[in-house]
Amino acid sequence: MIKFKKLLNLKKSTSNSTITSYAPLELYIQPSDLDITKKIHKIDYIFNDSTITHKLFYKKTTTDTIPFPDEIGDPRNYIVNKTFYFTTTGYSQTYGVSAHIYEMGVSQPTKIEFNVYLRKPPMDGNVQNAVFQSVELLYTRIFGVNNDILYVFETKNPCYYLPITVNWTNKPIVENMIDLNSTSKRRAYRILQPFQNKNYENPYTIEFTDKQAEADNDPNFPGCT
Amino acid sequence: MSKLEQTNILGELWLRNPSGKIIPSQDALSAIYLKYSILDSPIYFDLKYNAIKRFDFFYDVVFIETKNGFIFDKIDFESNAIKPTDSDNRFISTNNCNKSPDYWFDEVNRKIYVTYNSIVFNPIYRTAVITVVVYQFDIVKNIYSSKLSYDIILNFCNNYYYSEEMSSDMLCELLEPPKMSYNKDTRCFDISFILRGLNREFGLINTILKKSDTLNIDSINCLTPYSDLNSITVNMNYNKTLETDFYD
Repeated sequence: MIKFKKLLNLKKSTSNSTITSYAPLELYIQPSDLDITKKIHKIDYIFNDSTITHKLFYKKTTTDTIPFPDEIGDPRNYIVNKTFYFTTTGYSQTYGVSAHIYEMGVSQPTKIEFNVYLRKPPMDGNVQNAVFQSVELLYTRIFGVNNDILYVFETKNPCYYLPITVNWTNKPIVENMIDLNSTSKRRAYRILQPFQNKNYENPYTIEFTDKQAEADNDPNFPGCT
Repeated sequence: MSKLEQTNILGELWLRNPSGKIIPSQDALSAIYLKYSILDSPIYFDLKYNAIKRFDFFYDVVFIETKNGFIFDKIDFESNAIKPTDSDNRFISTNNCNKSPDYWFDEVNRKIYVTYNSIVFNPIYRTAVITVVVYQFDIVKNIYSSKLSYDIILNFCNNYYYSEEMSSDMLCELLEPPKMSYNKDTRCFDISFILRGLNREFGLINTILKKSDTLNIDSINCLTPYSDLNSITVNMNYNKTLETDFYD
């Protein structure tokens, strides 16, 4: 699966900032440059669906090279990572992230709050990070009592034929926009998420012989030019 | 070479004539060529100079698409020669941003449904307007007429698509030809096409048409990942009664 990665240096000045990226975003939050003078005993990273906590702890010896070797248990020694996915049908989605930093002897935590602004990754076109050079519609068939539609797309660089069944009235919760795991049995492209039917939800699922997967696994298979 | 690129290659058409001889279309379809020569149609020169993109046959109807347009013409056999049944001008231009057609052949009722689309910039709406046209060709009665035309007006957020400088050619390149199919269970047509963003990113527009006495728009669906949509408006240009089907 394609993931876009970013590293964020957590500082007080991070507050009210916005990180813009394509989804899914794997965000690494590095607190080692935190501009706080007192000793920190806990950092809570609060996301919309979970909270990750790092507490001060003590360890006798270590050979690791870390930013604060005298305080191996300092929460600033530990990078936190979190993956953000699209969960709506919109063009963009914003997540709020809050880091609560608890200092020794201070009752109220220092709060650093920032936004993660996600956009759907471009499928193709003259843009950076496009998955394909181009995607073209080759063929459609509408079928069944629910008017499911089979779309067959042709892509260039990399070259694939992508058969997809879609029901425009069925909008399941989105997890990943694109999943390019070519080793899976079924092609895992999610070009038309959130409209694409999941196999288990679609009574008209067509089982395709995955010729592309066979080609992927064949070192002698000629590529397209 | 991709499948799509293959459909854009120009070439020469050869046919087997009623006596079984394989001859170039200039000879086999000479009466059709002559018809469009008399009509002074641009397709005549395409046919003459072998600028043929696609062809198909549906019983006694021939479909030919060239670089400038396409025809669906009913043919007749007379004295071992192929002749057009009538002198009507069946040529539809694919210049001026009209895209290549797609078609669905209803073999039971002997009707061909043809669709093509085009895009123009509308300064009133400050956005692009896509026009979709559907023709019905009753090949038994030899009646070929436009039955439905509607505009899809996509009002993007933040005036996306709005640009005084954008030429019609640039805008035209963002729209791709439609694909058409029919669901006999629900009597619905699907017309889908790609509408690209300003950086040529992928987007998909779909219309479901319910067939009864006329073709009625059941739903319009859009996936435009490059920009949010404020609204989708449909403007019906005309919606005419279809030729009667023999069988449902």
